[in-house]
Amino acid sequence: MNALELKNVSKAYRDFQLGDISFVLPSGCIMGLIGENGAGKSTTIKLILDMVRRDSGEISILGKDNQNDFCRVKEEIGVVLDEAYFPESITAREVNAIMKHTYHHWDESQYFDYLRRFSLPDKKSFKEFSRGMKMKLAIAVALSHHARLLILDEPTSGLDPIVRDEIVDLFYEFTREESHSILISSHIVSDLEKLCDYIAFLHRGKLLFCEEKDRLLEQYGILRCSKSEFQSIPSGAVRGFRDSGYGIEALVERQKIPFGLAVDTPGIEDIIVFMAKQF
Amino acid sequence: MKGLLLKDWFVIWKQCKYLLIVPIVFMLVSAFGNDTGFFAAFGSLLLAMLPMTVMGLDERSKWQNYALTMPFSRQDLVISKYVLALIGLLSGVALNFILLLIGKTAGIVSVNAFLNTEVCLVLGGLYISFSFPILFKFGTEKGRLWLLVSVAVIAGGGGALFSYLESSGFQLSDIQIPALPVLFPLLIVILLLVSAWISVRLFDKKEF
Repeated sequence: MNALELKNVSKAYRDFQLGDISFVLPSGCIMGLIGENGAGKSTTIKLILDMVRRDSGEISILGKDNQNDFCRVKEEIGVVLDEAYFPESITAREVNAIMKHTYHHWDESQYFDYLRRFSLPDKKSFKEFSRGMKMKLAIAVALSHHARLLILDEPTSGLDPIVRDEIVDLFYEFTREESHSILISSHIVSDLEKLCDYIAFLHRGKLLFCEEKDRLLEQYGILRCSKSEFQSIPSGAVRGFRDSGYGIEALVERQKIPFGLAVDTPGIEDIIVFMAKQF
Repeated sequence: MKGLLLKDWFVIWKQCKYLLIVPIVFMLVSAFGNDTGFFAAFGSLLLAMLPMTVMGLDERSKWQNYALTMPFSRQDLVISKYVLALIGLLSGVALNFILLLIGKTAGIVSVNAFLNTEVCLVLGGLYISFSFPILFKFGTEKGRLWLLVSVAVIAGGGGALFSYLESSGFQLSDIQIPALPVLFPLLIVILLLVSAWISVRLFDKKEF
């Protein structure tokens, strides 16, 4: 069973359109949703969670349509939004009391374990938390009710590298269980590169690709060459290029490049930056 | 829904304690100040208004966005606020009733405690039925303006009606329509159900 399936999902606003999004997140995998600010990552996540109503298309989560008996499915989803939206006066201990009456499978001891692991005070009000502490609290909640799918909208943005690394490790830990999956959006490509099996790249409301990360790295390469060499390359092989004046740096499809030209392995960041330039 | 109500209770207790004190002062004034019942009704209304304050704080913290990711439906979010308002109203009315009985036993007030209680329930129910769809439609910031008008109309109108009836020599306690005590609450229950249905429909169309 797939953890998540989107088929031709669209949503139009007056000044922005998210068009025809389709992708599949297989169970047990981690997918990174990459894109610049305003590309439509948060809108996609809100559509998945039915916080925003889709205009067309189909969305199924853990095998069920997200507009049909969704509450039961939400028991099995842990969500971290771009901010932790707890009331400012609430303490972590009170969050436990609320969640105990919210999730059927709320695991109190696991929650307090996470609080200890994250060094979060349980009696301090939420407004006194730093941004890192707030996000850690939201992550502790998402991980403490035996969810099978985590949906994370920029959970690491605004956090320092040490905290980010700690959190990424935690997500790794979560996916050790075979049936556990994660959809994580971020514009911090390095985090996703480390973590994800699949990469979906959104640009100006369009899904430019959704591929296995390793396949992407095999399929594409960075070619550094002179202008004359560049002109000899079939145009269908080039997915984006940069002319520095001294030479050309291009993202190319390895299989379409003539034999003998040296092609370096790209990073995910190279791939998305070159591709974004083309559109 | 228990989780939502518990969250509301934590927020009220920690951020709006003063809102619990003011209605009690109003009710004490009513019970021991030989008031016509205006303060009592207003006190009960204030308790029924608690959800508006909580909704304002929810909007500020964007709690609703987060709550929608939990196993709650949009309907749960709406109905929980009605339940909170009714808990507030019923506890206010019950407290007011007890205070009036004490005041009457001590010979300080002459108001009919049963009738006064019923009027408070009716006014509170009217207020909730009228204001909630507005709050769910416009949010608390814009809805507050509408609300000020509704409170002025309901509380002021109710108070004026009491004063007018009493100055005309008409004692509320003398009302002899046997079906009235049943009719009014029934009407309010119907109004609340219609109001909740409208609020759910309005909230269902919202996007977060």
